[in-house]
Amino acid sequence: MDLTRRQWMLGAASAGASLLPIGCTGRRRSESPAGGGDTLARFPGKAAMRVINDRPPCLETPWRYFRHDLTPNEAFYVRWHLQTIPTAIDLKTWRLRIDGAVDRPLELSMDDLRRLGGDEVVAVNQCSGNSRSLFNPRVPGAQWRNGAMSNARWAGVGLAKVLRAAGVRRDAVQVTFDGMDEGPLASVPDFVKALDIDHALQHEVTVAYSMNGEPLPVLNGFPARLVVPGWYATYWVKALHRITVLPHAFDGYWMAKAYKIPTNPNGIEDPHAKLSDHLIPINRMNVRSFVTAPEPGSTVPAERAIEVEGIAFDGGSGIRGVEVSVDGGSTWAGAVLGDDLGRYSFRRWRYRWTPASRGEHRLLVRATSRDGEIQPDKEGWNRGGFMRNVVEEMTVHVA
Amino acid sequence: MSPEPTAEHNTRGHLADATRRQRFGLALAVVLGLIAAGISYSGTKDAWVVADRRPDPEVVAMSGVAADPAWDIELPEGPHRDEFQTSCLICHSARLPLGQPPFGREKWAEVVHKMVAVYGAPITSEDESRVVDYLLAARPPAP
Repeated sequence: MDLTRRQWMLGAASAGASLLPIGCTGRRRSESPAGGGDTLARFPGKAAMRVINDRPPCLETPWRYFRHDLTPNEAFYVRWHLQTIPTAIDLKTWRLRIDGAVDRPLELSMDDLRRLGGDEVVAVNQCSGNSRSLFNPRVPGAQWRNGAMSNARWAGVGLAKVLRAAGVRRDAVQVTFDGMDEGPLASVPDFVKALDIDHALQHEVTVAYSMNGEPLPVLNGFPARLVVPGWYATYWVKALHRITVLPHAFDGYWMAKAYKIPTNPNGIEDPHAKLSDHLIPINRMNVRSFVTAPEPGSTVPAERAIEVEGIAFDGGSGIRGVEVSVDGGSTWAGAVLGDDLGRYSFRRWRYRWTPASRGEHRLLVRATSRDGEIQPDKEGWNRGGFMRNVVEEMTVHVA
Repeated sequence: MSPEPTAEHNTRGHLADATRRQRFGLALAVVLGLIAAGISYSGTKDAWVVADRRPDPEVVAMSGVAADPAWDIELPEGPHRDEFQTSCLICHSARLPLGQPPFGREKWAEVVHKMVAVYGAPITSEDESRVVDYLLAARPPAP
C-alpha cells in the first residue's frame, strides 16, 4: 500500500474534524471513447464524474447520463468559481434577503419560500463555456468537453412573486443575485450576477429549492439557486442568499468584465483578426443537438436497423426539428422527436438507421429551433470559449 | 471554566488541565480519523469518496468538500515551482492550470497577469515571469 504519511495525516485531520470518513478509490478512467486520461472522482452527494478542477470543484457529467430526459441530481454537472464554497448550511439560520430599491426589505426562511412556492419548470442548465476544450485555437478556462450541461425539473418560487412581496420600486433597473461562495482573498471579486428588472419579473425565472423532486445537492447550490430558463448557467446563482434591486445597472466584475461576448450571432469573432471591441453580457443559449447513442467510435452491424438517439435544446423557443446525416452531411433526414417536457428542456430525438455499407460512417446531427435558428455547419470561435453550437459530427464503424 | 494555558502553567512536569484536555481531544480526533481513513481506504489517492451520509435536508445539509486539499495533485518538477505554489494555489488547485492546453509564453503571461490584475493574486511583477517559466516547464507547448 503506497500510502504516504501526508495522505494519512490529511485524511486523519479531515476525518477527525468532520467525523466524515474519507476513503480513496483507485483512479478510474472515463468509459467514453472520446477522451483517454480522464480522472473521475466521487464528490460528496455526487456520482463518479469527470474532474475539470477539484478546488473549487468543477465536475463534468459523464456522457451516458444524457440518454435520459432529466439528469439525475448526483450526475448533474458542477461548476464553482470561488474557492470558499458553502459546505454546511443550517436551514434554521439560513435566510434569503431581498433588499435595495424595494418598499419592504425581506428576510425569507425556507418555510417562507415554500409557502410562496409551487412553481415548476423543466430547464437545461448549460455552462457558457460548455465544449470549450473543442475550440480551435484553444482558449484558457475550464477545459470542458460537452458535459457541462444538465437538465432538471426545478421547483421553487417564481422570482416575480418574491420581488412583488418586497414591492419593487418604480426606479428599479436591475436585480443582483449573490451566493454564499467567496474568494479566499479580499481582492477576489464576489460572484454576483444581474438581470434586467423586466427579465427578473418574467414568470419563468425561479428561486428553486427542489431539483428533480429532491433538495439540491450542496454542490449544485443547496438550499436554493436561481433558475433562469433559456439563459446560460452563469446567471443561475447557487447557494443564493441575497437579492438586491438596483436603481441603476450593476457594474460588478462578473457582469462588466467576465462572461462577455461579441455581438455577432453565436458570439463569434475571428481569432486571426483584431478581436471585437463591442462586447455584451452573455445571455440566451443558442440551439444545439448531440448524439447520445451509439457512442463515437463504436462499431455497429451492417444491414441491421439501429436507433440513433440524442438530445436537442435551445434558448427557450423549443425544438422544431432535428435532422440526421449518416453520410458526412451530403443528405439529411428528419428524426422523430420524443416527449415534450417544455420549451426549456432537453428534447429527445431518435432516428432509425440501417447501415447499408460497411466501413466508416460520419454521423451528423442538426437541430432547428421553433424561432427558426439552425445550428451552423462551420464552427465559430471567441476568446472566452463560449456558445459553441456547431453541428456535431462523429464516426461510427459499420462491420 | 479553565483559563487559557500560559507559559507559567506549562512548565515541565506541570501541564495545565486545559492543555491536557486539548491534547487528549486532538489525540482522540486523530485516532478516530485514522480509523475512519483506514476503514475506507482502498487504493491510491487519485480519487476519494466521502461516505454519502445524507443528513435530514430539512435541518442541515453538509458536504465534506472542505476536506478536498487532501486530493491536490503532485506538482511536476520545474523551475520556480515554489513561486507557482505560493502564488497560484491559494485560489485554486494545480489541476486547473495544469489541465490547460499547452499555451506558449505570450498566452501564459496574459493569463498570469489577469490573475494579478483581476483577482489580486499575490505575485510581484518579477515573479509573474517566474510563474510563467514554471507553467511552460510543467505544460510544455506543442512543437
